[in-house]
Amino acid sequence: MSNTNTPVAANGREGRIDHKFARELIAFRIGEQEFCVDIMSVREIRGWTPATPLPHAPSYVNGVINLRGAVLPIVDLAARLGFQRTDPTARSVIIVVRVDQQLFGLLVDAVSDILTVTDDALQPTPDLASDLAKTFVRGVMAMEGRMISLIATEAVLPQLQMAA
Amino acid sequence: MDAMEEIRQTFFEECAEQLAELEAGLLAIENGEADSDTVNAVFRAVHSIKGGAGAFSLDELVAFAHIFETTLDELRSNRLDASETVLKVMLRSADALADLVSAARDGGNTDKEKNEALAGELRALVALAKGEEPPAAGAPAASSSSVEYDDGMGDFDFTPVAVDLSELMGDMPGNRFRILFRPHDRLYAKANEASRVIRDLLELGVGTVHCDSSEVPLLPHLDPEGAYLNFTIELETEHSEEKIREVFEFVEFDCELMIEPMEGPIVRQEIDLEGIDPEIAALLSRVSGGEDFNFGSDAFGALEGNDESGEAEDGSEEPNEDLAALLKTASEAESVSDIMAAVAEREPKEEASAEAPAPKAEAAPDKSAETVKAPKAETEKASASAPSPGQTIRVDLERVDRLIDLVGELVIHQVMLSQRAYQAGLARASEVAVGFDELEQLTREIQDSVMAIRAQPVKSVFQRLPRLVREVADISGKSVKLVTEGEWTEVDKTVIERLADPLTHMIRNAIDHGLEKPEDRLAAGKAEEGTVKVAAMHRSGRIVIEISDDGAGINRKKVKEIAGNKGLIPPDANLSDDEIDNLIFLPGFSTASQISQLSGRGVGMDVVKRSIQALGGRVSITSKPGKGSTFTMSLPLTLAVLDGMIVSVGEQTVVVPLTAIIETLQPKKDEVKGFGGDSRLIQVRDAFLPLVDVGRELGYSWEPASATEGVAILVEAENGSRSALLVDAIQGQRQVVIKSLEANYGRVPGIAAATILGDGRVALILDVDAVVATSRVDQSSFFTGMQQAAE
Repeated sequence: MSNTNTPVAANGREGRIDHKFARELIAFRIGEQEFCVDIMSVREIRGWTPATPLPHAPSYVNGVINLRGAVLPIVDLAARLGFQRTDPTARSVIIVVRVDQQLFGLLVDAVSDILTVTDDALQPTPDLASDLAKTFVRGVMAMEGRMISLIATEAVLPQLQMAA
Repeated sequence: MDAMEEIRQTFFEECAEQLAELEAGLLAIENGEADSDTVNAVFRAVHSIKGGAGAFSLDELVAFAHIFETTLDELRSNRLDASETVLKVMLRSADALADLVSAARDGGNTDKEKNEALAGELRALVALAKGEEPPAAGAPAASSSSVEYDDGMGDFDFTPVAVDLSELMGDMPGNRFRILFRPHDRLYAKANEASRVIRDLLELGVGTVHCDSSEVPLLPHLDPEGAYLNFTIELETEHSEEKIREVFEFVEFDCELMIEPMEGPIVRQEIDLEGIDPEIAALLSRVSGGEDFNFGSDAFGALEGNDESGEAEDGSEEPNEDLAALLKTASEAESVSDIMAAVAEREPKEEASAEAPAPKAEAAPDKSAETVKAPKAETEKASASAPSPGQTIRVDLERVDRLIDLVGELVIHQVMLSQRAYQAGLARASEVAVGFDELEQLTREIQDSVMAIRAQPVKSVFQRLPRLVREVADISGKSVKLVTEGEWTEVDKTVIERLADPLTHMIRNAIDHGLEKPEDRLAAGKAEEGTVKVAAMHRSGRIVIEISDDGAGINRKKVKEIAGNKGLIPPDANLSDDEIDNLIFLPGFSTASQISQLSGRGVGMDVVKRSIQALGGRVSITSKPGKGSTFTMSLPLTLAVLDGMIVSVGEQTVVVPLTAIIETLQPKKDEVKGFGGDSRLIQVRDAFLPLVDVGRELGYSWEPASATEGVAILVEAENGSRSALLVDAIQGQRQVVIKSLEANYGRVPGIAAATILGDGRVALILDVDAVVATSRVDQSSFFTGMQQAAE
């Protein structure tokens, strides 16, 4: 958790942060890669509990868990991004996010950082990325030599069920 | 939302209730089940809507409500017979009123011409009742522009008393009023002051003030914050009664007030000085400062904050010399406490001194019989509304939902807690265990009560049906009788709200397509009037609504032909009757050879089916040629508790709704028969039933489960067909709280909902019908294709 509040002008321009556009992000790891989500969409972060698998669900949906009485679907973010499925351990982390009225959990390996950045720090997703990644990644940020991708949380849940 | 908007919203909510009451009342009258209360209720409903609408300046609504109300008044006073024709007009007027209300709410337009014509019919009825020649129907009514309405008080069950101003203001100046003013302690508590009111009053003219202190108790019984004085003011003024009332504007609900006009000239009250206790008089003079005996307004200024003290006499312009003289012989009272002490000492004389003012106070209420008496009217209103049965409060639905969630949590935790305690070795007979049992009972009771808050009878939806049937019957030129059953069947509010649309379409369909034309019915030897029956019932933990008609039934040949022509089915498909009937739910299917005004709106049965499915419901049809068809729609009772059998499927725990289960059995090897492909049948006594492998249906296992190692659960689907579900083991039977999967995820095929078990894990509740149906779909590639076409 170093440099959590250091303003970063990632596009090379030195300058003061315009606080109007500053936002906080929660960064986390999946394997060797780092991703982040807007802190405003995060409701809580909790440890892994075994999920009840859902029939006929896509492979990236681990199932549902009990979040204080609500049924919370868990999405294996690694599988959703086209990586290998996560084998959840006791050290895995669930980031509970809210999109509109829906709550769901993102299964990730570990939460690494809280970042404060401005919008102009965000670069568009490079063309190189696969279509799958482009769907779920809103943009990338360079941060002290690390690359962090901002997850488009609204695209993570399977669309067909949302429409139902 | 600003305050006004909130009030407006409340008004429209109330309007909806009033409209429902109106229609229910009219229908009761039509069926001859009405008494005078019903007629009054109907009248009141319209009156309330008019009153409220007036407050919001909804002129069109007010105008229509007014003429409607006038007609109802004729009915109420028995000048108009509740004949069938009259009621038809009234029912249509109720519909029009409902339209006007919704137009006012949503800013839409109504059919002005139609309303005007209807208003004309109503006026004709009024004229008829009055024995006049009916005016030309539809003639523009003078009354509609000059409608009087009462200010938003229409909701209250009393008729505001009109004050005839012309009479009161006729002989100005020199109106004389007797005003009885009896302040309550509330008046003082609100920092109002009787003396100020009286002073203001005296500024309007010339008057005498009598103070009746007879009710002042002895000191030990005196409540320092009590109010014991009554004032009688005789006022001669050039102002009207209205003006006088204005003086009392801020205190009118905190006092008893009676204003009555007096005949003849003011009689200067000769005060019976003998009757006045000298001590009181002396005290009065003390209180008033002793300097000025003009007992006009100034004297009352001195009385402020001192209402326990005695009697004030106003000798109008010229102070009564005698009184003044008497008062001048002031005693030595030094303070209010002295005054009180003096009052206390006076005990034996109490009766005597009370004599003079008392008769006045007593006489006054007698005269009040015909006079306006605001506080009295209010008490009557309060007592009239108090005993009314079924008092209700409005609660934000979200709060109830929150409560239900919390109670659900409570139940889960209570179960979890007791399970853990037993696991930790708690003895079943221990006191703690007994406590757990009691706690469990309590939580169940709380849960039931909370659930009951949201559950509502389907009556609110069924109530709208008569109107719908009337309209549809009118347009289609058919004569239809509506029969409803089970309108008290309770279902969750959210379901009720979404029930209306599919139900509407299905009833339209039943009348438009189901019922034959009157001449065809007669030719077929049926009654000319067709019957549409809507019945609601609980079944298998769901609410089932059946819409049946006694029409011609589905023309299967035609249906199949059309489906074939439209390419919805292969031309050579071999379909069972049941399958043909259900073709009408396919998109793009419409049997009406000529598109009618009703069903040609693009809302086909496929849309109905989809909207029901979106609710987690199902719809099916059965039909008998010549006898009619029945649509069966089944919906979940969301948020309800469910009695379920907890079973193991693979490594998972699944809940099977107990209501669907008929029996469980251990299959023996020779009872299970292979039946083409992977399908298996199980022999139960004499019947062969399909054996549904739940693990495979839910995708929990790929290998067919061994039938002999598992347990077969015999279930009955809503259409009555039986199947056996093969599961690994039965864990037990328990009441579970239904949790929505839709809220955060979406619908899962074969799963009705989820629940949380005692160990805190989520378990899925099986949708028995869907699992059985999909297992059939798997076995019928043709049907699969059709399903896809339907998606």
